[in-house]
Amino acid sequence: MEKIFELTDIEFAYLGKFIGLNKVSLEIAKGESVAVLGANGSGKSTLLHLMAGLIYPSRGSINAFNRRIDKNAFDDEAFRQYFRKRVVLLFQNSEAQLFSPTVEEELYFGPLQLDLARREIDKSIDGLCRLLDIKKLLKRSPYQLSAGEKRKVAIASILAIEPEVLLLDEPTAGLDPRTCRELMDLILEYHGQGKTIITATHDLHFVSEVADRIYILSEEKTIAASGAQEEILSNNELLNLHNLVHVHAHKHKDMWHKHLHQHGRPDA
Amino acid sequence: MKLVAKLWIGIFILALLAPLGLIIPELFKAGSAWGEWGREDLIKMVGYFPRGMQRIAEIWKAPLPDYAFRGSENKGLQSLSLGYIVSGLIGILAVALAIYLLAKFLTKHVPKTDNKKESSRDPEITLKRRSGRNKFVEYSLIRTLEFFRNEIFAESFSSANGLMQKIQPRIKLIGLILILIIVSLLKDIRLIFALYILSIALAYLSRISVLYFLKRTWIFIPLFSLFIAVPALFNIFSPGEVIFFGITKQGLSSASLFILRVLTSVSFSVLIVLTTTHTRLLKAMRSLGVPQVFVMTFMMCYRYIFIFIKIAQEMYFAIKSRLIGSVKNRKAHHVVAWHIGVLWEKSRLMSEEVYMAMISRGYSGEPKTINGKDI
Repeated sequence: MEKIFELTDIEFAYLGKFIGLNKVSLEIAKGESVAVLGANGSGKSTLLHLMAGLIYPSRGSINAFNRRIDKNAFDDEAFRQYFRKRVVLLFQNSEAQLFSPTVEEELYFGPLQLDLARREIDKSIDGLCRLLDIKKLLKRSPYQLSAGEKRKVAIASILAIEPEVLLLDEPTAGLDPRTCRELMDLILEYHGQGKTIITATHDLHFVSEVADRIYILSEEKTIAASGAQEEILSNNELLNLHNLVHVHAHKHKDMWHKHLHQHGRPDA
Repeated sequence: MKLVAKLWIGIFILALLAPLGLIIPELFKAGSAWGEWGREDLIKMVGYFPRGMQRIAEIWKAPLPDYAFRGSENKGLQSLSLGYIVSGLIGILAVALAIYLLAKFLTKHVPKTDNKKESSRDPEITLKRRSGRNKFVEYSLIRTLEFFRNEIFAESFSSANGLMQKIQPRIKLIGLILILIIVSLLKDIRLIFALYILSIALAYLSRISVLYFLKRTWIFIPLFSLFIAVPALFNIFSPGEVIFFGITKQGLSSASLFILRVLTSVSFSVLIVLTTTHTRLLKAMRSLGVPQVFVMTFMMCYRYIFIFIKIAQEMYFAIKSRLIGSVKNRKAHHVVAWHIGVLWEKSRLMSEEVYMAMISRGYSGEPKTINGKDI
């Protein structure tokens, strides 16, 4: 299958000394849905920023669409357009992502920068508004939206580019169950259309529904395990080791018992 | 000793030291301070007095020319020094008075209430009643927040179905610029007054509460005109026929002309701002040739200022919720300094992230927006 991302021995250090990622290697093929699991501070966001071509590794190499991504890659205007039209990133912080004065301008921002045809843009934004039910928000300001609405607008703003690859940073964090469900369905739909989805999360429920393959990032900021979704999710020992589940003690009548506990997964 | 008392003493000591500026150059035979040359000095240095300066020089006549009393200009260092000190004291009093009045005017007076239930519900009243220095930070934070909430509230005017709301923002902006020019050129006070009445009538026809409109516009008057208009009343500045207490007829007419000009200009500006959503106003600016980057910076400022005030307030409450009783002075300063530092760091991180979010969506230095769409 066609490789989209190929990361080899990536190292990344903040300010040259705080390690963000340590010897990370991974491959992502076209059309896959891959989840990167890890506790807080394991480097998930850093990894996504690297793949989105926003920061560059201090060591190792990262290839996207068979081209090496480094500081100079985006000086090539044709490649910049090519890459930005295909790879989009949903930021963890919706406030940072929504910088335009109104929702409408937010949705138009990406496609306009990338010189997509105006008629096409209108059409795709109209479709997204219907799909996400955000038509009524178009003239509003981002500060007048609820957290769930903000996330929806943020995701619509990146989908308006009609990308191939979706990088999602904690897409379900802080959302109520219904919005969460809607978002998952949307992602499943895009996955069904053959889009590549890469999600950084610790929401195991999301992973069990959306991801085919999983990478686990350890607290040492390196890849501790990888494999098919079922394989990883059934390995409780592994999940416990990486703070993704916890031992939960509770009482049935007068008897105490303990078991591993995951949040948000109905069959656990 | 209280901090305020210490500050006052410091300021008075500075006023007493003011004559040093006279004494030291005198000792070293240095002439006047560099850049503070008067008319005579300039003529001596360059040989003539520029005509443009001549014109401007006549606008303002100092109450105490050269900080010296009338007639004592040549009486020697001692009396000149006294003039310096007296000028300093007058200046201090004028500034203190202005700040005091401004503070009175800008802060809402909240009556003390003994009703505990009510006070616990309204955070502002509880804060007012709390003693201690932290009150200041807290109060200003809440006031700022309230100001911006009012701004949002003011957006409800821009969506009302009134007269001014129907006019295109671009036309309004051009009209505003024209009116500002006309107002500054008109010399007939009756015509300016007619324009002022027109602005109020327009506000009324645009479904803006007239009382609210008057409040919004009058708040700027002391800010702009106190220092310029009030002194102009007296015969020291505007020689002429004295009516009472040294107030001259000429002074009165020039002061009221000035205030009316400010008032009319402010009224029209506020009217435009109130009846146009900020996004459309900025777009109108863009279509009138203001550079895109400038407009975009404006938009982003407006967008993020709410978030930062909210973060600041949350941080403040987070600290407060962990405090029992009050903090000692030094410690409180420490906390506030730390607070400002964290806020700075947070905003830096946020700006970095926003920039990345823009880059990621294809931004490459020249923003493209949906211009012209709804103007």
